[in-house]
Amino acid sequence: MAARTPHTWPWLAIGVTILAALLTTSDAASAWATATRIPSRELGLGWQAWTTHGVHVSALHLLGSGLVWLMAGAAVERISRGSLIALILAGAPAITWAALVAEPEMGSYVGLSGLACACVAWLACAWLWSEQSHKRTRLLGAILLMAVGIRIGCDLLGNGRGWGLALNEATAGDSVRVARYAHLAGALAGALIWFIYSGVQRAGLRHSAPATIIPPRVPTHPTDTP
Amino acid sequence: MLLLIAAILGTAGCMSFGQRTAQGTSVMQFLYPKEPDHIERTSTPVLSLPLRVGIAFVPSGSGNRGAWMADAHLPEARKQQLMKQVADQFRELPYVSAIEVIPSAYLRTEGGFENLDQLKSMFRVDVIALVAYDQVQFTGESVLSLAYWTIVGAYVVQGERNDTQTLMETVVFDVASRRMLFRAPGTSQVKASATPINQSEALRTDSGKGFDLATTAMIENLKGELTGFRERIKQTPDEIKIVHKPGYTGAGDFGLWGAALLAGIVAWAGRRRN
Repeated sequence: MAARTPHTWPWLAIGVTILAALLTTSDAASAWATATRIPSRELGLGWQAWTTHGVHVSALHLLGSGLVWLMAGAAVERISRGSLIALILAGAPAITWAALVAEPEMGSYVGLSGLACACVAWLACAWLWSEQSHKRTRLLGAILLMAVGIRIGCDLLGNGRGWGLALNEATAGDSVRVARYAHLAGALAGALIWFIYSGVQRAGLRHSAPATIIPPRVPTHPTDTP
Repeated sequence: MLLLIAAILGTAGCMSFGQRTAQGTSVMQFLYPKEPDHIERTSTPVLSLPLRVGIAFVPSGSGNRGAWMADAHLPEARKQQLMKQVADQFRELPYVSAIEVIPSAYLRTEGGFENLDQLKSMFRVDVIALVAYDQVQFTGESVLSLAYWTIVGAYVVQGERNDTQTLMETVVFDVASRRMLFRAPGTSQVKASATPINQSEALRTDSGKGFDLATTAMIENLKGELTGFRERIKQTPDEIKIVHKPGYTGAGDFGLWGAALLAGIVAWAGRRRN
C-alpha cells in the first residue's frame, strides 16, 4: 500500500463508476459482464465475478448505488488505496459468490451496492474503532454502521421487494428481486478487510502512511485529542 | 304522371330501408358457451415472473348472435398480423419472457376454459390474451341513387352510403386462476359511399379500414392498460401475487435516500474536519 496524502484523488473509485456506467448503458456489455450460475449449480464465475458489479437494472439503480459507491469508495481510497484495491479484488468475487450461493434460485447478481456496502462498512469500522478517531468521528461511525445494519435487516425481511426507489420500480413487475445476502456479504467483507488492514497497521508492517481516519488537516477542536 | 310519382316514392322507400351485416366473435360466448349464467370460481392470481404470454384469436362461431358466422373480412393471415401487433406490445415489457402467437386452429369454437387449459400446457404459457372483434356494416342509399335510373349513373354516381362500426378487444386472462387481469378495447367508425357496381368491394375496403383503425385504438388502450396493470400490482399486492421463477436477477440498492444519508454523514465529517 503506497503512502497517500489526504488529498489523494480517488481515481480508482471514479474509474469503477465510469466502468459501471459503460456496462449498464450497453445491453451487449451488460450481458457479457453479468455473473450467471450454470445449471449444474457450479458457479460459472470468471471475470464476471468482478464485472457483474458494474451492471445495473436501470439508470436510477445505477444512480443510487453508484453515488453511494463513489462517496464511500472515494473516502476509503483517500485513507487507504490498498484497502480499496483489496475490496475490489477480494471483496467483489466474495460478494458475488455469497449472493449466488445463499440464494440458489437467483440466476444472476448485479449492482455496485454490494461493493458500496463493503466500503461503507470499512469506513464505519475505521471511524468507529481506529485509535486516531475522535468522539464525533466515532459517533458518525456508529451511525453509519447502524444504517448498514438497518439496510441489511430490510433486505432480509423485505421478501425480495426493493426498498430503494429503483428496485421498487424494477421488482414490482420485472424479473428482478433484491439479492438478500449481497449487502450482508459486502458488510462482512468490508469489516474483515478493515480489521486486516488495521492489524497490519498495528503490527508495524506498514507500506503506507498510518491510517488517517477522516484525514485531519490540523486538529483544532479541544475534543480532537485522540 | 302517377307512374312517375310511384317511382319516386319507391326510390325514396328504398332510401329509407338499409341492410345490416355483422360478423364477430365473443369472449363470453367462447368461455361460457353452454351456461351463460355460470359464474366461474376464481382464486387470487399468482403470476410467476417472468411471464410467458399466449395470444389467440377467439374462434369464429363464438359470436354473440348465436349463429355461426364466417370471417369473410378477416382471413387467418390478417388475424396473424393483428396478433403480432398485440404481441409487440407485450414484447416491450421487461417482465415478459416469451410470447406465443397461437394459431386459430388450436382453439375450438366455444372451447371455454378447458380449451385454454389445454393451450396453457401445450404452449407453456401463464396468461392468455384473447383477441375478439365485432363488426357491423350498414348500407343504404342516398338521394343520389335517383341517378341510377339513367343506368350510366349506377356506374359513376356514388349513391350507396356505407357505415362500418368495428370493435376490437383484447382480454387478458390468468388461466390458472380463471381471473381476467385486464381488457383493452378499441372502436372505429368508417363512413363512405360507393356506386352500386363496386359496392361489395367498397364494403370490403371499409371493413379492412375499420379493423385497422380499431386495432390502432386498441393498441393505444393496451399500452395504457399494461402500464396501469403494473401500477395496480404495486398498489394492491394482495390482489395479484407475484412470485419469481428460478433464474431471476438479484440486485442490491441503497437508493437515493441511502446516497443522501451517506452524503450528509460525509459532509458532516468533512465539516468537522475543517
